[in-house]
Amino acid sequence: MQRIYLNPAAVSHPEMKKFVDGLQVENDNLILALHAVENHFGYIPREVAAFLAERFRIPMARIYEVITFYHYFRTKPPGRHLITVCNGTTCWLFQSEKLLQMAHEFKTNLPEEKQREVSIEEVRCIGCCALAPLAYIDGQLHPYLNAEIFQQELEKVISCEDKA
Amino acid sequence: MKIRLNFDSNAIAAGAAYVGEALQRELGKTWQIIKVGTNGLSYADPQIEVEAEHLPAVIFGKLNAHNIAYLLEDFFQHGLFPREEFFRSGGCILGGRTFMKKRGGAITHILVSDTSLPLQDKNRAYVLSLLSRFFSPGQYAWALDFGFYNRGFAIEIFPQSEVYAGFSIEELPELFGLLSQGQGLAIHKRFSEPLQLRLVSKNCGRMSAESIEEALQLGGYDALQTSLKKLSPEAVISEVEKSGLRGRGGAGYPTALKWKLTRQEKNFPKYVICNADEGDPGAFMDRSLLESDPHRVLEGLILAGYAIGAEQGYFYIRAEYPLATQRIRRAVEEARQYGFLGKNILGSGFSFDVKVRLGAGAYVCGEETALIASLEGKRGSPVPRPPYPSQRGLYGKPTCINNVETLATIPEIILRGGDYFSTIGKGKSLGTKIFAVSGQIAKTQLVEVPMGMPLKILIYDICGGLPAGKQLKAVQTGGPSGGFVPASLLDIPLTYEDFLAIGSIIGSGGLIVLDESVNLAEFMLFYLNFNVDESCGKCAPCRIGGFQLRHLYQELLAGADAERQIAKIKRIAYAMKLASLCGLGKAACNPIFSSLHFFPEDYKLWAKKNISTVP
Repeated sequence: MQRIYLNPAAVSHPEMKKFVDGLQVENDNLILALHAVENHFGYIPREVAAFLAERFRIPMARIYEVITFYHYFRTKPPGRHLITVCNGTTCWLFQSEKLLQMAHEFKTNLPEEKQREVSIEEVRCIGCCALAPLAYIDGQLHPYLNAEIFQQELEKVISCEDKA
Repeated sequence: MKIRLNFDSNAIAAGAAYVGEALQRELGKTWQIIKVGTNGLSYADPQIEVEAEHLPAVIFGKLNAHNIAYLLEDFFQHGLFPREEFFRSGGCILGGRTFMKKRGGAITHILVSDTSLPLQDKNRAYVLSLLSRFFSPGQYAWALDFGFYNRGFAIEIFPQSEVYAGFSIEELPELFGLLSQGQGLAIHKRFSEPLQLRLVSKNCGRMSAESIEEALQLGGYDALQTSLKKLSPEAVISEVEKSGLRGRGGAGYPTALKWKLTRQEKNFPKYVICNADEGDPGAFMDRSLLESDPHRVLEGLILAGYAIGAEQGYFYIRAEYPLATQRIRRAVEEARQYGFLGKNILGSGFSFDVKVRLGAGAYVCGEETALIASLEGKRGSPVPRPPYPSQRGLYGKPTCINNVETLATIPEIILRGGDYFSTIGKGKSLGTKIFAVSGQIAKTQLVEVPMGMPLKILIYDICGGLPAGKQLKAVQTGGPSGGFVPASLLDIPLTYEDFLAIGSIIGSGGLIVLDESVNLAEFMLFYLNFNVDESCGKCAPCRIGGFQLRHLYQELLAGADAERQIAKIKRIAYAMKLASLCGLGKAACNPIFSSLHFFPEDYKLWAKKNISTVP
């Protein structure tokens, strides 16, 4: 599950174009192409969207219409650390909103340059309601969370980084 | 000798990969370790089911790095139930669910449980000490769950794998005495009324979810072969019609009628779509089916294509289900290799193929017309119906969209006959339905029951009721488009009609149990946040109505005058219900009316005294 994103700043335009040209997707399905782009870059860089427009022969507006409509697609790169809290009904019953709030507080308490490295998102039910409440931290799914465990796991993410 | 390891998203999240590696390392040489989807008992993940001649066929649940060592040593090495440390470090044993053939012989093992809640573990120590007088250590153990509740003490004896229930605590010493002397049990105590009826989910948890071979052994694609050889497309539709099957995605539209309407269109090509955009939060029936028995869903889709005359099918799977997507993709490839997909399937002249498409996190895409737009690679905005997708759907062609569970039911209908299926259920709600029960419930799990079963039985007798000390307030059904069943109406039969009559819907089958601590006005604000976020924004009633409703609820919870807020809420909700373009906006108000009707007091708790209403 752990995703390692390319650093978009380090990707040149020809490389992006090459990536778009090399996409093995049905040529009428923009959404599958966008999934491939997002899985590769972590978000949909504007330059890639332009190459997609060329390849699919559709205006950029059509592409941004789709990107902004669906929750799954990002227009900005996520931070190095991605915290995704499930906010399905069952998780909500088990205080997922408190977890979300904790994640935001955790972020706010970090030094400013570190704050930019942490992204917090929520997801609408991943269908594992028996393990509620749950959250992904950097791709790893943590079941049966409570405030204490969640705080520990969040701190692990940052302390690991300090060691590195 | 087989070990079946639950390996769906839920089990993996709970740590099944670690368990799988440990088992493979220690037992891989002599045991076949099969990664199955889920047997439905999600609360006990990670779990394994044992199938061997010399060992009792039980499920060991809640395995982890601490307790698996005891299991390996005691059970797999010595053939004994694991020692107390296993249970103390979280492990549990589940009985009463064997797929094994029954065997005779002297009793080797015995499982005991107190199924009368909520005092489940109160008598554990006493019963275990009692057992120790008659049996040697490791021959007996306490079971967490037999799959039924409120039947007194229950036991399962091995190697017979027979379950007996209805004993009082006073009867136990005599019972254990007789058993230890090898004497049988009084027949009338035999537990022979399984509450669940597993037709659609019968192979879930039994077979590897990534092997067509195992699916074939358990009857996979039999219905397709029968249909292609013996049944015309019309005959397939008529079989489905006889079964009375109605769409399992929520709306409950008769499946055969949908197929007929698409079949009679003279516009080609036609398409069939499997709607696997299971968006209702708290629902995981479709995910479990896709991850546990993908070939069944695929077979249903092929049969749907055959019946309506389509040559191209699609899976539309939500992006939050990567494992389901992976397993469906694999199933499609395998089916192609085995000739169940492609040109001239099994020499019948019928050609059909399938593409897998992904959603991208939009609840509205469960709505037919929005799904079609999304499938075409556009934003998922619904369009007014008519024309219905059966007339003009995907790429403007006749299209039939069926839910995962609906399609998974089709092979069973073809094999057993529509008439058999129609004998199950009640009124116009026929067959079985899978429910995902979660929330404040003792045993979060997937159950498949005949329609018409009272909700109370499902909650209390199958899922064990609420955790100790909690009082049931309501059951939320149908997700953000559904409603609430208050505790006072818990006897309601699980049918489309009965739920409609009380202002709710069965929906896709997610049942969320709420206890007394939940305030329904607060709960509604959660749903409105959901609906505002998920509204596609195309039509004003839904876009603006939802936003205003949310604002009114926020004011209400901040202490505004309840009477005034409720009047406004009702007015806007009615307008939104009447005027919204698609089901999302129309149904978003259902839980509002339902909660106002059953729990008006929840709305009044918030009013702050001596503070004028928020402007």
